[in-house]
Amino acid sequence: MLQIKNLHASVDGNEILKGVDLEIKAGEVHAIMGPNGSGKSTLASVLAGREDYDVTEGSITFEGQDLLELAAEERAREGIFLAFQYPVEIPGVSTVNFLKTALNEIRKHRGQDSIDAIDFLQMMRQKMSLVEIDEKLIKRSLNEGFSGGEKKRNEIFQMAMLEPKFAVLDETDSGLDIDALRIVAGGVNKLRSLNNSFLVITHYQRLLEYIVPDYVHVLSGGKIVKSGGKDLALELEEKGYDWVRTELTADAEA
Amino acid sequence: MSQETDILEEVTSGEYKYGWVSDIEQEIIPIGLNEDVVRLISAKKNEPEFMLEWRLKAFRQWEKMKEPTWANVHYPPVDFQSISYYAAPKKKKELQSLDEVDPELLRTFDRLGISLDEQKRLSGVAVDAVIDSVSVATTFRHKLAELGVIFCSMSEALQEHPELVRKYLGSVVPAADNYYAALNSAVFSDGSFCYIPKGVRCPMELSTYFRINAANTGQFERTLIVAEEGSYVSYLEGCTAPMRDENQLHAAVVEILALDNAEVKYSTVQNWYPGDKNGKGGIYNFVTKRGLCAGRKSKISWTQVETGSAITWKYPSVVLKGDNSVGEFYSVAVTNNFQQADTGTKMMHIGKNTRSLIVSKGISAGKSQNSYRGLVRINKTAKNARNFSQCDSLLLGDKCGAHTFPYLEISQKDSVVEHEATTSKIGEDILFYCNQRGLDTEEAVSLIVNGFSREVLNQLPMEFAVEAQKLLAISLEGSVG
Amino acid sequence: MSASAPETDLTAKVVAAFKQYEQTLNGAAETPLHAIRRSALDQFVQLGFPTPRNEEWKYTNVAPITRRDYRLAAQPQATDINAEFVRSLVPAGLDADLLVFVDGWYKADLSSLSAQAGLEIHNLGASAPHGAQPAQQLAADTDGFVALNTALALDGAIITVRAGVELARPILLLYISDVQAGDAMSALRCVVHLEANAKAQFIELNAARGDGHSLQSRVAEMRVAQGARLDHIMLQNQAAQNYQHNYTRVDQERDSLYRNVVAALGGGFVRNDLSIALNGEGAHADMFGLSMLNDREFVDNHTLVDHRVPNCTSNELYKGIYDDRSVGVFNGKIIVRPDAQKTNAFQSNRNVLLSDGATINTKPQLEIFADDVKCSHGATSGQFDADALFYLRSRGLSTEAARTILMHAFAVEVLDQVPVEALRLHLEHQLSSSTSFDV
Repeated sequence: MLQIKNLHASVDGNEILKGVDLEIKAGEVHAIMGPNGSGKSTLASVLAGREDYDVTEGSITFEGQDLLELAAEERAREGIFLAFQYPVEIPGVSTVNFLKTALNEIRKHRGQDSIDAIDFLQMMRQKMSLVEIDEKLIKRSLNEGFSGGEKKRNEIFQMAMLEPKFAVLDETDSGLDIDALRIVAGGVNKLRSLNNSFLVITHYQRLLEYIVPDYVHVLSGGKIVKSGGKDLALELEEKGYDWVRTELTADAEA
Repeated sequence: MSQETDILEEVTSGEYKYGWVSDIEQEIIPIGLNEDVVRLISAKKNEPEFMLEWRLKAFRQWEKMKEPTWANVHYPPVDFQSISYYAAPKKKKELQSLDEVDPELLRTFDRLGISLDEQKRLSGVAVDAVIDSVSVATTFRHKLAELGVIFCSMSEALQEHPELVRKYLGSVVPAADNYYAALNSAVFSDGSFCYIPKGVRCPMELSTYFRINAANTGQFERTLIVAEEGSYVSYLEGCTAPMRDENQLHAAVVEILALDNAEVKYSTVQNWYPGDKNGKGGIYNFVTKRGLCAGRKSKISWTQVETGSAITWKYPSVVLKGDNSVGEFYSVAVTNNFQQADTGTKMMHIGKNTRSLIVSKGISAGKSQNSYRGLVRINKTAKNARNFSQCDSLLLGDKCGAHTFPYLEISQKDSVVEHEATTSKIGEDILFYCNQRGLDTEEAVSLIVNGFSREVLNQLPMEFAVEAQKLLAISLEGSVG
Repeated sequence: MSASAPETDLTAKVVAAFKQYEQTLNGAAETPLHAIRRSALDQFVQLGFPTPRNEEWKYTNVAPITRRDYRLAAQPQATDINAEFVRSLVPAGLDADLLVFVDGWYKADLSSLSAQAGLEIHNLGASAPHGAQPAQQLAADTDGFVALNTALALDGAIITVRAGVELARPILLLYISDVQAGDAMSALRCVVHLEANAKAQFIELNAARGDGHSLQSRVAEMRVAQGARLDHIMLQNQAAQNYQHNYTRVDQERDSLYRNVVAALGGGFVRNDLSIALNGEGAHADMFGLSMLNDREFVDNHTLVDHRVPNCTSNELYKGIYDDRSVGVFNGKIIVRPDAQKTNAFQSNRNVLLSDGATINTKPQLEIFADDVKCSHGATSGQFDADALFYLRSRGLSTEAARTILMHAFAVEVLDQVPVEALRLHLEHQLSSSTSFDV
């Protein structure tokens, strides 16, 4: 589904990603872990098409298409979803109207008709229960005055509504208490299928207890330095990121 | 700690401490203004012909102009015919060294805390001292000359570098730019000239000290700073005047030109005599200051601490013509008793990616009126221009006024302009907190005012910052409690 | 103001119209009201139309709008404007008492009043009642437009809401210029008095019939007595050839509330002066404005809030979106008088420029003479938040759609302040149609 090859990216001339390789197949859940400043969020932003990031080398292919050729909205319509680490507050824009517009854009892209109001409401109800989000929140302006946890839940709710093929969860666990974490993870798990895939970016192993990944990668210094199964996360939690660094140094010296 | 003690001492002691008159032999021309006076000034200074022509042209235009009335200040009309336009310490012969300077004059500057004796100077500051508009001494000239830096009085510059003066004088503030600038252009008697050649970082602060001494005179000095490509200079200006019952006029012009990658930092501590507690006397300070960022990535930064003058009318400005150029304005203006200040800045964005920052702190006490007036203009051509302005006013007492008059004129869609202003007083709770910790109210106010002004004071060179802090405290003395 | 200014012609026309009116008086020329008018005319002749040299008109050049050859009638003119046309102007779903003025003259046959209890309406032309004179405290001495209105507004509405009465229906004042047969200028005056604890909603709508140029001058004097509440909404969505000048003077007494919302969605020239005096403790004033302009439209919102006594509050928010070569002006002044301690006054002006030909000139001002106050103002100009734009695009919205949705959100903050549901919907609809986006 998604292939990242030798990806280099920089912001304001500073290279952050220094050759990332990653392949994600349909139905897979990959986790990316790594210390602060390793480039995790940069990877998420590059995947979503943020213009502030310059891709200087390498490629990203999504279902055979060159993703880097597409604007952010075109990627979204192709089925890429980014759950933001810091969702923006947009006063005056109601969540409902916003989502309906977004959904219809995506449907139009797929050659489908606009969804009618009743179907839309029904769909909303159903997806809301998935992430246990309060109707009151949906009626307010987008993310305005939401708590950290409410914003994250709203992200997952939007994901549920837009039904992406490939979703990037950028530190969705940060700022969540244990109950919220369970709800969010539960929502994600219900959306998992053989046809879609996820990239879960996190600093801690905790989230991966709830969203069990097929693969775990460690991103450090702008590169994936170690990959493994779900147990790698546990090992990391236990030994810390220094362990990876030490091991790498040892490898280099050997 | 000792610094704080100094401030406290100042707070509890005196009035305007620079208010004495020096007994120096003066040459003063009769009061009144006409073409002959302009010719006389030019002749006395043995100026080249072009300078006289320039002055006369300015004078003729000034005659047609009207005194501006838009500022938020009130005063009886100035009688321009009752002022003497030239007063100079009498020189008996050409001075060869500082030893030959009138000892009374040297004492004058010692009392001001400005030593002109190079040996005694703290290293790192070159001083041009201007008394009643005439430069009396410039220190460290030779050392600067080795680097190609020209730092001398305007009179000397006209004799020694007439081609430079001719090229740059009026290039930023045209002769008839406004009423007071036109007056200055016609009658300016001296001032400082400063030229930093390409690529030179001036190794010391350059400083001009202005003092009005004679009675019934106006002071009209003119400063011109030219920073060539890639050069840097930090320039300081200080000023004091005797306490006199009548009002005296000060109408100066400062022009700064910065070429590609040049940076000029201009700091002023303005401490002209503000008049007495009843509003009698004091200086009318009508000043035009403007910098032109002509080159790419050039930068001009104004910092001013305004504590003096009965009336201040002053808007140090930056014309941001070069792409990526930067303009800054940091100001603390304190008014007490019957002082009136209408001061601020203009940031004119013309080039692409130009940036400007305005930080203005106004403190009003007594029966004073303190106004911020600032213009931010983003021309159509100034793509990606950015401005941020913060104007805060602090009121000490219920008989004073604090006013904010920003003008924002924006014609570029890819620009961002933000202006914020607040007005407040020192909270009772804060005062109580300080009192409870053992500070009396005056100390507490001094502390709070310094904190309120910190962002601006931090921009001043060290020596000046200490002086400025003391000044703030003195200026506000007796305003609370 | 030099006598050779280009607007001399219109000045002469105003004088001629006044003379013509005087001839119709037959002895009534000696009334106090007429004396006021005559002195206002003298004042107008002396002041002329304002020029940009006047600080309050620095960014607003009236010369182009005063050069036209307007028809200026000193008495009611026949018109074929009918009820159907009037209905087409009234916002859908708005249930209001309707007062219609054509070229400044009250048209009873086109108006519809439901005789609400406690509401008294007179038209100035037919029955200038007891004491209902154009007030004298207006800024006539500095502003030629106000003087002109005082001299020439021969008709208008005098509205009183009796103590304690809460009007069930809003009052809609419809000002129509009939410019089918050529350019026309008109002047009218509104005098509104809400007695103690009364509550009312006033809506003003400017319109024109025909393609000629119109210049409308409207001065309103509003008194909001103790505990009363007045909501005042101004709808301005005219074409390039329609010009208007509105001067609103509000006097508020103790614990009263006044709210002004002005939606300027179009017009060749719009100048709104809003001057509020807070005369009684506990009074609160709200001012909201939205300007959304394109082409060469011009809107100038001038506000003055005068905090004269302690413990009053004021809040203002003006927003503008400017496209093409449109120009917006905002000038907001807050004065806090020496005795007006414990004043809270806030003012905000936010602007978005959509085109390099567009301009915003803004002058937020504070004049503070009391120390125990909380006052602040802010003014910004910029683009829509880049993060918000990206967020919307990452959900599949095109850049265009994302911009539109943000523009709508920007505007809605002001429209939400309109206290009449039908009007709010009407405005949202106008907004959506002008931004071609359905939300």
